[in-house]
Amino acid sequence: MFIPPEYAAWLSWALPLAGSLFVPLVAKVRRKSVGWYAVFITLLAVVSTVSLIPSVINAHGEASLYSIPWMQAVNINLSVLVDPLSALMANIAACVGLLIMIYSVSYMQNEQGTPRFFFFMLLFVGGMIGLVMANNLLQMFMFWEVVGLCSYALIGFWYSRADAAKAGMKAFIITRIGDIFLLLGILLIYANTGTFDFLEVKSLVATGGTSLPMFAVATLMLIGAMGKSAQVPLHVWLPDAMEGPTPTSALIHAATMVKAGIYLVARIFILFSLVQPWLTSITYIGGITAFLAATMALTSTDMKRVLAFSTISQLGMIISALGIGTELGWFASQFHVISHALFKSLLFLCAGVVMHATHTLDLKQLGGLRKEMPQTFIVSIIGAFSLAGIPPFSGFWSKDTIFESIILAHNIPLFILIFGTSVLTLIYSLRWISLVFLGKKSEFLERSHVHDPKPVLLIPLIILASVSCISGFFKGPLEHYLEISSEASINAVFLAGATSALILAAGVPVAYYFFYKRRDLSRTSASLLNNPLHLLISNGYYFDAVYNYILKGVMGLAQGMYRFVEMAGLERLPYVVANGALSVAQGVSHYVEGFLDRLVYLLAGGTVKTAHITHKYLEAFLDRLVYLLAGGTVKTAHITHKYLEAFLDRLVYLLAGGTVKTAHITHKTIDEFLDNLVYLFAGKTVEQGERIKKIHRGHLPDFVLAAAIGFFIIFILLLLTAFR
Amino acid sequence: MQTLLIALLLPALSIPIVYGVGRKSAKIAALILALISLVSLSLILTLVPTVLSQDQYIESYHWIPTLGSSFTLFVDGISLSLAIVTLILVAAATVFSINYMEKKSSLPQYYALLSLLTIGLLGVFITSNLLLFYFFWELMLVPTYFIIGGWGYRESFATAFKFFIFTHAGAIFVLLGIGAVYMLTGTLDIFEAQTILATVDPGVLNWVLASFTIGFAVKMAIVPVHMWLPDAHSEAPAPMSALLSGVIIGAGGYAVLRISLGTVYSAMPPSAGNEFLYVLSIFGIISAFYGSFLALAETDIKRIIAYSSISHMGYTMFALSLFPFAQGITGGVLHLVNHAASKGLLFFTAGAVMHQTGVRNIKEMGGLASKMPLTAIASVVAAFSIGGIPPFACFISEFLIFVGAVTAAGSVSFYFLPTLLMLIATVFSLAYVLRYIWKVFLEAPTVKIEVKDPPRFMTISTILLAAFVVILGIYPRLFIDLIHAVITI
Amino acid sequence: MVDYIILSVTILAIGIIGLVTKHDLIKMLIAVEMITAAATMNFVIFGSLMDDSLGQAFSILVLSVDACVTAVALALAVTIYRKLKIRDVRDLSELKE
Repeated sequence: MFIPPEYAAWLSWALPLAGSLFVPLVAKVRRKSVGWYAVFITLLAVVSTVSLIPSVINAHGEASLYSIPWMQAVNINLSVLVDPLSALMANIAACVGLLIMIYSVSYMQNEQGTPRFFFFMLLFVGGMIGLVMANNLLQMFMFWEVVGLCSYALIGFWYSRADAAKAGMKAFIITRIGDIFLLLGILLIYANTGTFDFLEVKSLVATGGTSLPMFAVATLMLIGAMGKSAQVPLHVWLPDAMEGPTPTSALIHAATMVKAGIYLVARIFILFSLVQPWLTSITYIGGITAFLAATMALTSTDMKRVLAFSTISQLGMIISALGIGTELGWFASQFHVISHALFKSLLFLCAGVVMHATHTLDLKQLGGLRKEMPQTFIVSIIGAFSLAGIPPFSGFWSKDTIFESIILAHNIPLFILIFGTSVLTLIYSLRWISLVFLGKKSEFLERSHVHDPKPVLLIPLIILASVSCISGFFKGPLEHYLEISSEASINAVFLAGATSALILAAGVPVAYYFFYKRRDLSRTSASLLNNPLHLLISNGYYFDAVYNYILKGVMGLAQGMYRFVEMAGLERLPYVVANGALSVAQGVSHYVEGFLDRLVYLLAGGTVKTAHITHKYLEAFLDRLVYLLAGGTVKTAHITHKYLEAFLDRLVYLLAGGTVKTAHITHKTIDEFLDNLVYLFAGKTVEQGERIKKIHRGHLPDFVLAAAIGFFIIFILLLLTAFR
Repeated sequence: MQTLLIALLLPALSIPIVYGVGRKSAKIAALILALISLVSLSLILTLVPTVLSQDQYIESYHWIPTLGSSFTLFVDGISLSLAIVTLILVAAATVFSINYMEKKSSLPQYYALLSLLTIGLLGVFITSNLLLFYFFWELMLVPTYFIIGGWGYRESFATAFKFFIFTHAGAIFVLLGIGAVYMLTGTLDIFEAQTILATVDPGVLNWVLASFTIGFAVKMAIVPVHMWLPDAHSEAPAPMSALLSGVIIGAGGYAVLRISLGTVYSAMPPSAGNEFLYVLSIFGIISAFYGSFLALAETDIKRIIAYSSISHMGYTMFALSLFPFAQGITGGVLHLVNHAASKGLLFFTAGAVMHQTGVRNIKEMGGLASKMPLTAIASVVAAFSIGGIPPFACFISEFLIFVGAVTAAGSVSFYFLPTLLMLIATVFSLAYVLRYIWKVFLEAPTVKIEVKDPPRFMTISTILLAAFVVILGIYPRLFIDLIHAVITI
Repeated sequence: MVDYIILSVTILAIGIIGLVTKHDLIKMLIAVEMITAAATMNFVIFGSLMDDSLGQAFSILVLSVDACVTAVALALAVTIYRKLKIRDVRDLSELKE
């Protein structure tokens, strides 16, 4: 049953990735089976990730590395890291993924586009497991982006709804902004250490053989993590991401992808654990996020959005635990990661069940479902109590550990923040449960008949709930697995326990007062709703407003650049140049021609005048000369004429007669011969001409081509003759 | 073995064949042309082992000794990579044209002009003689003019004329540079010129460098000499747009690398011409941002893609400005290859959309994903590649460019701010890509459109090219090895 | 020597201005011929300047090419006139839809 770790390390993510490519094929063959095919592939992934556990335990915290060549020319190899942390996250992703896949088969069965859904879900599972198991930072970044791509595609699954598509784009852009910081951090690491390999970087940093700007790189990677894990101020995409189908919200936005940022910080923790400013900033970012998000969860009226804000808040808590800087804090964060993955996905799946039954997500319209959906009610209670930190559920134990680590570190401001967050968490979880399940059914639901979901939907819920019940008690084995050696002092344990008791004492009465009595939200007084604090919180502290403003600014800038720079300026420039050249040419031509015209007229006029003058004066003189000469010549001509004429006449007549006769004879024969010759040639030429004329049809490109052909024939001839 | 010569001459010989066969059946003519380009491709691929082991492959023929030029054809890793992707794109464009150009007239001339264009496209990359290079450079212009004019869209001849004059004006600068090189060195061979130019005064070389680069920048459509590109790429028929955007402007980038940087700049003493590189990177950044912003504002489907090309040539220019840092140049050349494939694919799908719906304005489109699933998938692959998302092609090349940029920033502090700006530019790339996909394929349409997936040949060529883009993204080893064989630093 | 260059440039300029300004087909052809003549003249001038007979060789080559170009262009002009009775280039381009 178990696969050897060398193969399991690759198969765990390669299988889902490759499997996703075959989803369209399966869909073509038998569309109904697509879901179960996805479940099957995920099951194989689970088998692979579970196979890693024995080898990790045997290695006692030593990391195993497997790599194959990828782009050798630039010294980058595909490499996989198997150590407790990566195996843990891989298992969470695979196992929770399997449960959610099973749930999705029935949940999505009436939807359009199920092949697309399962393609991206499988791609996501492969990408997530690949992300956590990557040793090569480039590889990790690639999977980081791939899961972001799947998130975009799945949030915008119902793309014909503008809200869904826009939510997807918003998620992608905001996480991309975080990602470029992460990329810069990775590049700085490469620039300073010459490698992308995490283990090599770790050893280089440990031996001090590198001049890495620690705080800068750490902060850059932190910002990337903040984008993915929805910390303030990059948290605004997660509430809108609820537009996606509920299984997506459960898998991606609760259990796994949002944990990627946490995973990254946990991984690089060992590199930067001595950079105190970095740790402090993590602590406060996490703490403030946790508190603000908890307040937002309290005012939200959408079933899934409450859970989304809750996720942001819990992630803030987890990351602040990392920021404490101690080994216990690190452990506490990972412990809470497991608990949160379990109970949050459970809560989301329950929300999905409720939505399927009631067709609404609005908390104002829900209520009183406990009688008709008892099983859902029970598992939701387990999830909500776990979230609220009520013993004996898992959330209590992990939150307790977080408090232990905070107390041990004597971090008072953080303690206050997390304490406040926990109280609020308790209140809003109970609020959620009571608004959905307790009280009377609202008018909206009076008419509809709701019932518990089918077994195939219910079983994953039950499994998640059961594990959530007992996982808290496995703290010891988990410590051993993660090779944690520090233990909280008895004082800390006692104080943490007291804190939890205080939270319960503070929170339960408040919750009871407001919600068990089922204060109808619609009758809440207007003054309460318009309370400035309430407005501030329910508008998300105006983060969204600021981002929308920036977005409008960018689009406006783009439009402005288009209209004023491109169209008015640059597009016109060549025409301006061309028209300018044309006007210059015309002006020159006009001027020059005018000048030449006048020159010509001037010359011509002068010539004509001189001609006239010379004509007049010479004429008279020449006339008289001519008449004088002419007269004498005429007289001599007459005399010679008379005497010669008679003689010449007779001679001429004699010769002429003979010549004429010969001319006639030659004329006849030569003429005929020449005629025939000419006709022959002319006829042939006309023939050929006609033939050639028939071929060409006057298309200009034909001639171009003929010319090209001719050219190339000559070219080839030249080439051939050039071979010497 | 005259492999390169034959590979170059095959398209030439095919011109009359294609024209003649085309008179009977345009489809067979197209298939013949595609086949011939694939044969040329396989001929060139046989040179891969040689290039990988010996770093270069030269064929030299006797030509005009008095001008100091011999008809030299050569390939090294960079030329080979670009030649390979060129021929792949030509084959794909030809197959695509079978269905896309079906209803248009004078098809034999179209395919014959495509053959002529192939010679020019291929020749630019495989010659080391400057005169030959200029010949092929100009040879690319004439068939392009006719194809855009004869088979293009709005005001096609005016657009083609603008394209021709603009790029030709740029080519004048190139000619000036070539003349200067000949005057200074007495030879027109790139390699000989490089050694002789090392003895020339760097001040003079700066002018030569500027002249060459201005000419190539016009071809690459760097802002502010980019004006010809949006009109030419959007009014050309889709297969021509793919070749224009993919290969022809890539030839500009290649020329900057080979001639401006490889020949003239390398001949200058080190650190003499650093301002030149800085200027290149600044223009690269301006183009990258400018193209992205205008792509965000445009509403014509092909003009969006055209401005995206300007943006990506900005990335390439930035990468080339990292000369001589190896990763940056590798990334830049790989980006030329990847961009050619991705942008070609994007134009194919945009052409398919236009062909099937008859609509160009994205405000009138929408909801096409369910109606044209295969085209939608290919378009998403292409668009995400352009946006720099793994696992598609352009991510790897952009990543390598950034690796080079950060390495360069480590030694030369100038590059620090440009690297940051380029990283920010990638966000805007993603923005217009998402907007494109949303407006064209996903948004609910305002006008009812009845469409289905495009006909057989268009779909086949699109899907194959999409697969190529994905493979380039996951396993680009062949091209990286080829390019890296050249860059030894 | 400068005088000859000035001559060639002048002819070139006249040719360019004529090509851009004139609208009659034949006049434009004459202008094109003038441009070619100027370029050919350049070859010879610079050839003699550098004592290289390559200039004269090239000018013969150019002349023969130019003859073919002129022949084709004239044939086109004559055909256009015969078929369409048009002499003005502006009327020609308005014929395209």
